[in-house]
Amino acid sequence: MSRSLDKFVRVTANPYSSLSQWKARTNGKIFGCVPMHIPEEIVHAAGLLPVVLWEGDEPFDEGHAIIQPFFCGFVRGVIDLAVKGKLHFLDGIICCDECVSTEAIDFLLRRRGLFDYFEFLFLPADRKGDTSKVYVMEEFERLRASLAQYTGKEIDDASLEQSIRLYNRNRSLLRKLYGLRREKPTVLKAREMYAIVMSSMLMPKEEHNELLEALISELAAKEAIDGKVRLFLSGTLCAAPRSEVLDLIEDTGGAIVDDDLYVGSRYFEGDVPLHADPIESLAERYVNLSLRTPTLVDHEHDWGHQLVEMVNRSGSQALIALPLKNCDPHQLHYPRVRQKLARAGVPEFFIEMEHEAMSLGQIRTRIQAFMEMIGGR
Amino acid sequence: MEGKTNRLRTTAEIGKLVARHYVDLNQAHERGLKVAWTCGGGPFLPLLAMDVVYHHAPSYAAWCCGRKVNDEMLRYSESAGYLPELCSYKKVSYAAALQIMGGIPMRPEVMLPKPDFIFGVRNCPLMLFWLDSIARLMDVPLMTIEQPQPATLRDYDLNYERNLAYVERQITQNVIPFLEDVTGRRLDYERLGKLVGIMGRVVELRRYSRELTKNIPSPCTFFEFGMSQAPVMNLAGEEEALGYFERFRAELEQRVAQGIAAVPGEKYRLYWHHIPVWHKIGHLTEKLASYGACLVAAEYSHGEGFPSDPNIYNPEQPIPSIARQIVYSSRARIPEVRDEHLVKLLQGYSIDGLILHNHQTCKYIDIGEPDLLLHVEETLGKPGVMIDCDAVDPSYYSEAEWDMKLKALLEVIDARRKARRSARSESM
Repeated sequence: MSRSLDKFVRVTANPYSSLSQWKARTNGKIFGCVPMHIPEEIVHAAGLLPVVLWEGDEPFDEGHAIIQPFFCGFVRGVIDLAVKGKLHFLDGIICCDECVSTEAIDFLLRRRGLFDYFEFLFLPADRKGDTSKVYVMEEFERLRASLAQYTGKEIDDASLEQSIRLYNRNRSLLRKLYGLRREKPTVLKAREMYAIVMSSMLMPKEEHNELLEALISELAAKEAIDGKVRLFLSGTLCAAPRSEVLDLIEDTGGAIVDDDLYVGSRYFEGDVPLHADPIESLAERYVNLSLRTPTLVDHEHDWGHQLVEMVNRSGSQALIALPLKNCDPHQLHYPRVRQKLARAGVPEFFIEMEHEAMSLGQIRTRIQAFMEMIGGR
Repeated sequence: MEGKTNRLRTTAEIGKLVARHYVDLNQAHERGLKVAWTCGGGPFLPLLAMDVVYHHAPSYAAWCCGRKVNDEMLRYSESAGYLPELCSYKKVSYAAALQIMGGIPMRPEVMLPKPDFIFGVRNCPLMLFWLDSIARLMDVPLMTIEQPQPATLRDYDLNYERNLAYVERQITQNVIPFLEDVTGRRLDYERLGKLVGIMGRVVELRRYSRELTKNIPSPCTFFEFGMSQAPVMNLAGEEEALGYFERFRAELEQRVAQGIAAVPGEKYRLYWHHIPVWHKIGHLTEKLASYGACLVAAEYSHGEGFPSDPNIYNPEQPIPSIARQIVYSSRARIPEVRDEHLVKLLQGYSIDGLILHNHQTCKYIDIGEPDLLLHVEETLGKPGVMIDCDAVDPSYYSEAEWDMKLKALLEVIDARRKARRSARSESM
């Protein structure tokens, strides 16, 4: 395994250790951001390390006492890790009204005083017209002022622009890597690809960019293996897909070529356009995000239609949907998405991602049957 | 289990009022009126002012429970791929939408007209996502209002003017031009002002009426108060809603004057957290009454999610009034506000214990229920139980769980009363 890939995999396998070590080494502050739309650039410009919160893979215990089991595994996971003290290296939490479940992270952890700093942004989901953009800018300004108060240091436009450039570079490199995978899907295992994207959420972007550039050069020289069934992944908002399931898909002859996952192409969609006002630029990226997200209202783009286009463009033979169990925004839209896929002749396979142990044997049999069907087309 | 409670005469009117609402809704297109599908706490007044007839998804789900078609509607939407864990309020309307779009009216008695547009405010984020998905499903335009949600009272106060301005901008720049375009007419601000004035009086009457349940014994159970939400949601701003609440108040006043109890021999005064269990509302009222237990207050009726301050409504300023209502609603969701309000309610209404409806498909109100129990126990020493259930879906209902937890709660209340009596006699 290459040095870069080894680092990405290690960071995602044990973010507790890597972040604790970073903190001890730098004496810096780490802020956890709730997925999917907190502008990490502002946190970075404040001289803090923004990381995107993750659910972990531990069985729930103490969290059970404060949040009901019908909330999604991601939110329960974050709350459980926090109350058990596993996120002790975090200095602050920045939350937003992404969905009703993510609200719980702020509502339940703030009252317990587990971290020094909490901020809650309200980002309009319906982004039509200037009314919403102006409000988003006000919320981003509020975050800038609040972080400046925390650090005691003003966040000037020049620092913010520098952070935006750094983050744009990371997005651009991840897009390049995805382009490479579309051409030669077997150069990376699926679990490695998601480790790369997830590590971007957990590492300083400066270091991630450097390692990612090296990795892309190495992979460009690698040969692809032919004869695999090209597959597109959709779903897992907020969280990463489970590696065991990805392995099963590959073991049965599949190769993931593209996705619309959050720990995937949603994370690096669209650069921040650099205007004179960096806050306005950040707001523009948010209001112009066009990859259909069920937690955002979109009057123009239809998720089903968009997925059919993405599947065809990537040369995928089928789509595998990976919704998180109890992810209401996803499920509210999915029956109609599924109908669109069926009408367009895109074979679709549905596996709910659960935090708790999943019946992998059963999933393997179902995937095998599905792959035989695809292979026989 | 029949006849333990004294039902109010006024609430018996609700059935007719609501049935007429659905007749009006189904005849709207014939009368040349537009139809909107809505969700959440409004605002309905701009729709009424434009003669738009609206379907309100939560009220509709409760109505389907009354017609005993809730189970069938839920299973219908599940058969189309909407999973059991999704909000049951929304799934009932999905069933209606699917039947309309498929041209298969399975239950003609609860059928709805196809909407001309979808409209709603984001109280619960999921409500907004539902509005979006149903607009897509039925291929009609969508208009929304974002309700900014602060996390703390400090943030609410600091951002109040800014949030008010944002909501007003949405109404004036987005909603009104949209409604004028859809209906082909100009908004009559004078009429809107009149509706705002009526709403203010309804809110005042409602607030006054709920204060009457402080009396011991209580003249009314929460479930009857909960049913009285129907005129607010379906007839908000109409003279009929005003007439209803005037009669409702008068009947409660009369009961208080005559010492008539909703639950004869009232022995336990309980607080209910969350939406009523619409499909078992009569059964649960009687079950509680059989133990001498009366639900005298609830978040749903006595909370601030639906504003109780009549000063919000000024007929001279209809748009700012509507904006104030929206912003005010967000205050009730702030955990510290909710906790403090609950403590005041428990004290003011002489509550002995709490029942927290652990609503299996409504995360919006479920958040923090376990914390609420701890908070109340720590601050007031009041016991409570969480009972798994669902407002609309009968598959989550367990008679055995209800019996076991209710008896446990009442036994704890008895034991604590006994302990207090012993402590008093020892100190004398």
